[in-house]
Amino acid sequence: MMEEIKKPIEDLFIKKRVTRLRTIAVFFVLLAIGVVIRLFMIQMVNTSTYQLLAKRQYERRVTLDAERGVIYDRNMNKIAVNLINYSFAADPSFMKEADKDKVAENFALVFKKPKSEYRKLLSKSTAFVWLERRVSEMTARQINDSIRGLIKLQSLRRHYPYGKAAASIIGFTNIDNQGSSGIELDQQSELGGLDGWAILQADALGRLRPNPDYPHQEPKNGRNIQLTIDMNYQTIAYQELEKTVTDYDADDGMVIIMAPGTGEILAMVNYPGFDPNTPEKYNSSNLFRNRAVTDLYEPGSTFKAFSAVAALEERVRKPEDRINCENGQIKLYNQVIHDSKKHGTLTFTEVVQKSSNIGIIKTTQILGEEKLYQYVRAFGFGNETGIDLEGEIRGELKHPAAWSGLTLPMISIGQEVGVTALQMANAYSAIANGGSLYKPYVIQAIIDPSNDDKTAHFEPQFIRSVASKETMTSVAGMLREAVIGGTGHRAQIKGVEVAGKTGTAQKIEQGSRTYSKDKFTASFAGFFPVKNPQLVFLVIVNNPRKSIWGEASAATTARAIVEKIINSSDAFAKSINRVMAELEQDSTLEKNELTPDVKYLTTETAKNILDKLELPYRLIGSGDMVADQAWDFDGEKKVLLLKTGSQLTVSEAQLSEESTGAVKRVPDVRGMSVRMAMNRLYEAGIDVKIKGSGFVIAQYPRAGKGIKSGERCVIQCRPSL
Amino acid sequence: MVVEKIKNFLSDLDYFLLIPALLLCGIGLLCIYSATVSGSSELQFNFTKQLIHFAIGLLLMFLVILIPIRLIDGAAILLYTITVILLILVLATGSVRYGAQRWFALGPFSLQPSEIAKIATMICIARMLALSRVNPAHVANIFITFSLTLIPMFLVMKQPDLGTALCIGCIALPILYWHGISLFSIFVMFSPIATVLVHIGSGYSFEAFILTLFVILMILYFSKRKTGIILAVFALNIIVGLSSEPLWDSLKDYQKERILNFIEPERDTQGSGYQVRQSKIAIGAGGFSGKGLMEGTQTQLKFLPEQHTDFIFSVIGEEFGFIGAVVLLTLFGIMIFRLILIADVVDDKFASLTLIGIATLFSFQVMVNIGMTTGIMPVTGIPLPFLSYGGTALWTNLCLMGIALNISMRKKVYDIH
Repeated sequence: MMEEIKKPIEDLFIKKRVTRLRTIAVFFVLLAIGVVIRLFMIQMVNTSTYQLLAKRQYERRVTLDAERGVIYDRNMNKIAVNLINYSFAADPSFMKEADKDKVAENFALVFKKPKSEYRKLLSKSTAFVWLERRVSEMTARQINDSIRGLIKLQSLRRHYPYGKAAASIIGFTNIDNQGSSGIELDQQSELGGLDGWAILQADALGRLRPNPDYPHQEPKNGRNIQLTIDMNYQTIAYQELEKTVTDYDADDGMVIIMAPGTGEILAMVNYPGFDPNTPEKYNSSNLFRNRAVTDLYEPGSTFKAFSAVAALEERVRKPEDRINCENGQIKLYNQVIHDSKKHGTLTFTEVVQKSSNIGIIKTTQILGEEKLYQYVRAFGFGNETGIDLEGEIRGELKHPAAWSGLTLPMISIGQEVGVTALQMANAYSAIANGGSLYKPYVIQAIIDPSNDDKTAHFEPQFIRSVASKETMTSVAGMLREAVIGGTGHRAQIKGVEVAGKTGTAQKIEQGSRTYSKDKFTASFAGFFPVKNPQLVFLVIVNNPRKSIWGEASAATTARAIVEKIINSSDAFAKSINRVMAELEQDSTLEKNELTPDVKYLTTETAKNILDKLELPYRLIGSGDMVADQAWDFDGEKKVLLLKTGSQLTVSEAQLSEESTGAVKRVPDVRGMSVRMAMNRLYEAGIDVKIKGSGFVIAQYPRAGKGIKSGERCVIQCRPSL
Repeated sequence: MVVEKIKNFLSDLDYFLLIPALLLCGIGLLCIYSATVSGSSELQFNFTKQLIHFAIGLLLMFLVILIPIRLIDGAAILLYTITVILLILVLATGSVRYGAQRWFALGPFSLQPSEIAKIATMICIARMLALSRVNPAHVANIFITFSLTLIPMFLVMKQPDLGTALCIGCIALPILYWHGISLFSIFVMFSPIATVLVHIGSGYSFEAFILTLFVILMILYFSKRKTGIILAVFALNIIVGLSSEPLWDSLKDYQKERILNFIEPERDTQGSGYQVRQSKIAIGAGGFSGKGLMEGTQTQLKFLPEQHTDFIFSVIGEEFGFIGAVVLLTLFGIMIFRLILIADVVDDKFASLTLIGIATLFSFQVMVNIGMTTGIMPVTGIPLPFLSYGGTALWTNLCLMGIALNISMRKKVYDIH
């Protein structure tokens, strides 16, 4: 430094240049080398790591949901269908703070929850958080999904249009659309299909775009299932059972309706049920069980039918054999056994009809333990029926070796034996069909959704012959007597030959396996028509507090169900030929006072309606539409005059009448059958709500009044006019 | 006649400077196109705007070439004064964008006085040092240079724009060094910073502190300076080192966090850390030869927000790979070494100092920018010269290139060593 100062300034600048130039150049080169080394490290040495990281960012493997199979009833009504819905999630790390606020506000508004709840979810430090799942398309549309970090996913959700009615058989699916109970669970492998997948390219906003070069696997849709269930019956049974359980202040109840000749289950109802569309609302999984196959009950007197079959088949008794019923009290192994009513001497038929414990016990004492056990087993008790539903139990039937002296008499009247509702219904089917025990089933067919081919079709499966046709016919007759003049008289329906037996049994307490003192199971098992049984039905009402007796709650319910089924179905109306017949018999109906409104119908339809109602009419003109109608006297007789016109002129008249707005005139449908009324209202373009069944006794709005489109006409119906 | 003139002009142009500059601008436009083409129309419009910026910039560059270098030299102090006034004005009246007040809106375009400050500060320092009649190693030179640097740096820092402030600041030392201050002076300036960094970096390890002091003492001893100077410098280092721990501890947590995030951006996954991570992934995934133009998934799928500005290098890294990056660095290298070479041979002190300033500014920006996009340097908002989107920055760089070409054309060549 000392020397430097002495030198001229310019010289120094020039002299030191070379070293300084080198220093600066070396410094820059070192920096450049540092940068190149860094680039070399990440681009050459570790490139695979970064490529993987990049791939993980932009490649998303997405599941292509297989469409779940649809569940149909026997008439191909859809019981379980798939609806498109949306789920919203967020990647909070991707979302701007201001956007988080916006999103929270949007969600709070749409889902009516506090904003803070969403704000909290969005503050999480995870990369994925669910905001709302399973939202309908309508709701989803109210969400602004164009915000960075907000993820909208489409999925299929199970929907059950019939709600609670068939829930215990069908079951439900969990949030991931996997079967959780019932057929949804049992048949998961058929219904579920096979999910596919695809690898998509994702951008920083989470938007996915398909890339044809990427591998993918198409989903395989689940198979459809057709059940033997008739949703019409199922619904009727559910509604009636609900009414009974409520009216009689009972705990719960079950109904089974079967086709006796095949083992098909037409209805299987558990009440209270649950709404399979919102299973998360129920905290007791007890409701989800199909109690008709998973729970046992003590049948009581309904069981006497089987003792009667055994006695007749083994020729221990003939129907007309007279039995001394000891005035309602006998002593057996130091135990006094009562009849609910005192009886003197009864024929065997009357024993069954009047449900005499003593009469049955005396009979089975002669029959013996082995024989009774043999028949009870033959009817299927003590064994699973083998139905295609999960969780079935075999019931409780001890082997004779383990019986005490009292067991034989007790079992013969339906005690000391535990059965499932299904076993009972199936055994009654064997009586109804003349002695054949079938394996009950609910799945009729499994259908390939791609071509509607049935990949499996289930046929009735005969198991064994329980007793001869004569015996069964004879017992069926006794059961018919029980309905006509015995314990089951409340199941009596005019014009329908119902056979059946009531039962009232002390409940077995679940767990302790002891008899309850004040809890009873009321039941009614039967079939109709007795000559050629079409349906077997079993009604069980658990712990009805208003009246413990089977003849009250259960028989009444059975009657209501049968009645509705008959009215709801053309097939039954025809086979029993009851509807028109009764209409004729019933002279209380003042036909002339009842004026069906046939205005603006085609002449042909109008004639049809009037013919059916057997109303006299006269046509004026030869047009093909009814323009007006009025009563007239044809001598002594009242006659409905129908003024007809051409379609065009009549349509114009109708138009001018309705031009006051979108208001339709309600026709008079009183006196018509439900079907007829529905058709008439349908033709007038009016929606109908039906209360009751049978014939229309009242309507709202009244005939001639206007009804706005979208409103419904309510018709009140009654089985007979 | 005119044709002859133009011919002469063109043959006089320094193509070692011009061609790399034009190539870099071309690559920049290509990358901006690639980074914006898959975005919104607003984003796509940036390419067109930058094309216009480039056209204007070229015009400016040729204009600057035509100005006699003496005029630039003479106007340096005036330009510096105007710039400082503009910087004060922009703080008072400029429009706010991205949370900083740096722009004067001029119709669809905008002007950043802080960019002009780079040129103004540089030529003003060069002018003052060239005029200096004292020994080049004299403290006065250091004082003048630092004063000229710190005023605009402070004003730009206030905007706040740390990146540009650092760019202004980086020029001072190399110019001073080229002018003739001793390495010892530089050592005196840097040793306390090194002491603090080692002390904090080693977690206040006493051994490391002692070792640092020992090394400093050795260097001081071998510098053969006066004992008083040696002792003063050594004492300064001890005081700074000892006070760094209580100073650091006295910071609030969020302040510490901010400093740590600055030093190591990947700590912060939400803010700049996200960008650095994505940029690193982009460059790393580019591999040896890149994914090809418009084929980069990081770029095309918009994992990097505002990629066409400060993170433009990640487009090159991803789409052109290591090869592309090396070519890019080579172009910069040719340009910078040419600048140093001319600085060496030019007979005018102002011109020579200015060229070193330009070379320093370019290389500083390139290194810090690439360092930032590859995750080894803090995120400071320094653009890549000639490539990053931005009008004023491009104009500044082309004007600097104009000055360099100007000097190169009129240099009186010494015998080249």
